[in-house]
Amino acid sequence: MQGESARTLDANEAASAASTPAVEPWSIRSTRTFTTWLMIVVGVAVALWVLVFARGTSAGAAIDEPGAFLVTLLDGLTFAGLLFVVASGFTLVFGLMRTVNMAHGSLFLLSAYVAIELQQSMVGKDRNIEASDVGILQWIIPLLVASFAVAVLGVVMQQLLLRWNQGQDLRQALITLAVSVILADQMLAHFGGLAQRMVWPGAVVKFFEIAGERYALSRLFMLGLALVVAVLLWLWLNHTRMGMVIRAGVDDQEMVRALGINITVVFGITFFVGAFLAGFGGVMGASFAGVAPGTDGQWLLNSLIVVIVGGLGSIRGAIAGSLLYGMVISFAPAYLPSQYTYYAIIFTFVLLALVLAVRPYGLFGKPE
Amino acid sequence: MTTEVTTPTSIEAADHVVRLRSIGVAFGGLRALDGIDLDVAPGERLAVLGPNGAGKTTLFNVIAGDIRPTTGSVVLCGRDCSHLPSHARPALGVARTYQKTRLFSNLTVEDNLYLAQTGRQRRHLALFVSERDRSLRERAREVAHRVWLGPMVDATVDGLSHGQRRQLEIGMALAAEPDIMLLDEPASGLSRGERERLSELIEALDPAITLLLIEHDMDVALRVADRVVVMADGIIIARGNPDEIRSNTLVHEVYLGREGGR
Repeated sequence: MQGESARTLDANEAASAASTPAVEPWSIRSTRTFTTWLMIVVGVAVALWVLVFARGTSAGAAIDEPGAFLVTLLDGLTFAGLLFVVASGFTLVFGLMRTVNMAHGSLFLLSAYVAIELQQSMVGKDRNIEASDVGILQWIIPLLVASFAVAVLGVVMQQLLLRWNQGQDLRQALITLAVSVILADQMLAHFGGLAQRMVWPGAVVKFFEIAGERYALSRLFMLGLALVVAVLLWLWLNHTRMGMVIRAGVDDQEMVRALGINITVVFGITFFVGAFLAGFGGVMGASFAGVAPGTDGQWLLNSLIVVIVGGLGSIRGAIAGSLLYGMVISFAPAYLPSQYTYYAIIFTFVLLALVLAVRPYGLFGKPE
Repeated sequence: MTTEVTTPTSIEAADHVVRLRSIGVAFGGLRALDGIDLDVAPGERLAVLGPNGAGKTTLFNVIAGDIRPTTGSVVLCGRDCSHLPSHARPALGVARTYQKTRLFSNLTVEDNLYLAQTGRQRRHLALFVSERDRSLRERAREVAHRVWLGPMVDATVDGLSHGQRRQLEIGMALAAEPDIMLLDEPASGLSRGERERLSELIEALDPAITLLLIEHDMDVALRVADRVVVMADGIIIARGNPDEIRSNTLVHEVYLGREGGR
């Protein structure tokens, strides 16, 4: 009897010993040092190029043209703010539910259209709205109403279509893709095919001098809104009980359920917030660059790039991904030799390739 | 072959915190459980033994509500729970651990224990309840001490050893103040010393808690339990106290024989 049980123990011990990783093989460590050095070399090369050698580019070397450099930096930073608002909603939903919401861009566009219509009716003009016509409330109220509307739509979509397919990632992705196609057609029919624009409130449409360059206050306003969103998200996730449940659910949702927490409700709320953020970003984007059919796909792609770089499901990753992607988007066209500016878009993929080569799950991502 | 004297049916349901009647679970053509009857009295320590694939974990899943039985009824604390979803069962006082450790690896020990309590709270999803809730925090720390993780409360689970994770799992189950605790192979993967500690820990649990334990390690199981059921191929083949099980020849043949002959 004793002998029998002792043998079982040994078997257990052997199993546990096998599951603990041995010392890292030398080849892995040397690969890691190599990639670290590669990153440093690339970083230094880019910095040197921008600082000294970039004469003959549209912006000029940073030591000659500090103003142009500062403007490029601010452009990157403010665009990163918008990227973060949209992508954080995407990554929040993915992190908790493993749902790749292919309709995220559609929610962005729909919210933009709703806000534009609402702003037009509030101002009382159909076209040619001047910034001076728009009070701060005539921007904020459409923003909140439209975001709320798409958030409700998002929850309806989740409850009606996705809830029954929880855990089936591919099926959920296809369902949301179908929703995005339907929404795109309906929006084309209802809002038309022309580009439309939300108008910033007059109070933020100002320019100020920075190192000899004019810079738009509205872009900084956008960055400020993004910071507010980031702080609220952080407070929600890190300092409320529900936030803790969500963070726990990202780790292991089955276990959350086993603790007696009704995670179905948490899913619904998270989807609400995720869709709200898509809508919020949509109104910001519509004020910043306008929207047209196709903007939905473009912003789905933007969100995907941000979360792939930053790591799916991580809010910190969304911040890092937005910053990197925003900087690449603003620096690549400004600091390429003028005749090559057309190829700036390639650098987005260079960024993706570099990050994925070093960290296959993104900067803050974790393997499944 | 059953060694237990059959209990008369006139006993009140309330005398048993767990009462299973002809539980059957079928996965397609496979009958994972086939007509299981089981009563567990309050405060009893019951070990469930059996070779791999005997249906032990399935039995736990049925009690915890993770699987709905194809046939039969589950009565917990006198209430028919056959159709109650798993997330509603902690409120009845059921807490469980899993075969593979399931903890929130990005959260600290204290946060894990804090969350384990919220399931039984009425307002566990209230938006504006701060996570810095005093009494729950204090209790989380107290439970951490009870499972000997006092010095580790602020460490994230990532940094714990396997044995410490097992301790925390039991703490998670304890934190919910359960009446029924289901421990699924709590000693698997532990070293001899760690297993010793774990048995001590389990023995030191509040005697009012009804404990169901799946364990491959006979030393731990027979030391902790005061009653044992042995399962094989979805049915219960023997019941009795640890000494009876030790001397039962069928158990040797079916369970130990197969295990030992590997």
